[in-house]
Amino acid sequence: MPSPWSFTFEPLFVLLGAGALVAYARAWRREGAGAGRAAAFCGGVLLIVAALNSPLETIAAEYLVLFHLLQNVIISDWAPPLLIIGLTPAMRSAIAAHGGRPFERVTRPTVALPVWLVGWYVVHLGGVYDTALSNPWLLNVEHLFMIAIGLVFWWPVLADEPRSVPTLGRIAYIFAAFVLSAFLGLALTFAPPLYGYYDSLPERLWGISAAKDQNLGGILMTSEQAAVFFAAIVWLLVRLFREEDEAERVLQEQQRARGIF
Amino acid sequence: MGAVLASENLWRAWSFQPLVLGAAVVAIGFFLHGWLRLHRRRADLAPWTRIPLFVGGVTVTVLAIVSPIDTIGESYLQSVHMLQHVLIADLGLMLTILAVRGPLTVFFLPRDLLVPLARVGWLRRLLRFLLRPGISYAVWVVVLVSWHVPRFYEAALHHRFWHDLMHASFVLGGLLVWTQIIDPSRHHRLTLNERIGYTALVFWTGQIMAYVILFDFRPLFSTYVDQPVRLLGLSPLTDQKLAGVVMMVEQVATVGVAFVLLLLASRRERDRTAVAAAQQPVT
Repeated sequence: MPSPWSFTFEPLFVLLGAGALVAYARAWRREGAGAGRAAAFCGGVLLIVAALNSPLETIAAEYLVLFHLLQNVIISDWAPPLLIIGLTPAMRSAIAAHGGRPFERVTRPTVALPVWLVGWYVVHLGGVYDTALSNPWLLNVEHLFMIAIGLVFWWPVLADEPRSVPTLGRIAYIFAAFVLSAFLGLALTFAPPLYGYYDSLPERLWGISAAKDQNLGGILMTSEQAAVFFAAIVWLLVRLFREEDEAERVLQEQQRARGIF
Repeated sequence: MGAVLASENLWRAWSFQPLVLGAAVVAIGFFLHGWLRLHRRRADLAPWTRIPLFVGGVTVTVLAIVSPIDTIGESYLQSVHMLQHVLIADLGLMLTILAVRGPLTVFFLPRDLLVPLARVGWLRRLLRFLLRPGISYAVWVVVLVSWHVPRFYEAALHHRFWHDLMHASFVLGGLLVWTQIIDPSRHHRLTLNERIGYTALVFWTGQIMAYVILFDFRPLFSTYVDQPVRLLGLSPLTDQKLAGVVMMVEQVATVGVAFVLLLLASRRERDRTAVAAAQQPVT
């Protein structure tokens, strides 16, 4: 088995990351988006590329499911929101226009949430996970899929194109995602080892048993999602309060204009 | 605290607690009296649906204390003890506060009792202080966290006084946060959207607490570890994890539902405001 500290090289994700940065740099120069957005986008790309080209990938693929789950939350829960935040409204509109009707459909909250949930649960089924781990290309497909469903899930929360979901609807969406996705973390915490691939490994890194490895993975996933979704809800609530203040201000102006005050 | 019973006799372990039963009867009596007074004046402000809500809330609380849940929770299963706590501090309280929301809050206590109580200065000041949203939340968190410290939890399991104090403080904490969430007397200490935020905070705090119990790799409380009778064949650690799940699920069913209802109320209010703004006459 390779050293857990050895670096991996996944050319697919390095190339995709580089391509995304080049395309973003061109659009960024054209539109003059702020440095904050650029930092968010670069951060998102960096998270994906680093998670899949580092000792994290070695440990995830050769030793511990805990690290594989960490990798999944990085590429599906952390990187996609950063990528979307990094895009300017014009960039998002352009993507929505290019995506056409399929993009418009898949980013509807009523579609995006089930897509994300089903994808999230199916990928973590024992058989699916073991199959993906048995072939590097299938593993790449799994990672691409995780990134894709992460983008689909976070798009209606963070973007106003092709449609702007009301803030209250976004809050309900995040809350539903939190409640409905919690069962996976619980299953990983309670169930005996689900993944034959990790269970049959001859060497237990840091003396972590297969059962404890999976339990820790469940804890990581549940806690991470609680933190990310709570942060999202807080942000949306702040947005809701601002909208409330703005509506109040507009109403007062209208009343003043109509001579009510 | 309780004597060890044969597991087949546990379902018969009902306790007669005159104080609890007496308080329940008095509460239902006050409620029915107040409901009748208001119903005679304005039936729309005291609908029939409030009676099953209130009686249901009181029944849930009483059953959690006098039924075998109490005996099993004290000596055998932590998960059942957790069930008892969430029934007392969340579900029972939520139902009773929902039942009295609106003008019924004022009619709940008989006038002859309400007026002298309202004149007690220190009581008013104390209530005003406790019902500040931040204070209510802080009290609830302190109660929730401190009673789950193994030393205190064990003390409550072995001494009736501490156990009663534990339950009383859970009721106080629950009463305070549910008052903020439901706002039964329409004080508007928080706007509707602020109540949504408050509910989210309470929900996530409860979830984090549940995670601590759910994800610990060792049983936290020695009473349950030392219990030789393993009801339902649950090991102490599985029982503890189950207690965490009970807390999580119950929070979703009560605080989670309140959160969704507040979101819907906020949407309705927005729609109403928009319609009202559009209909304002031009002067």
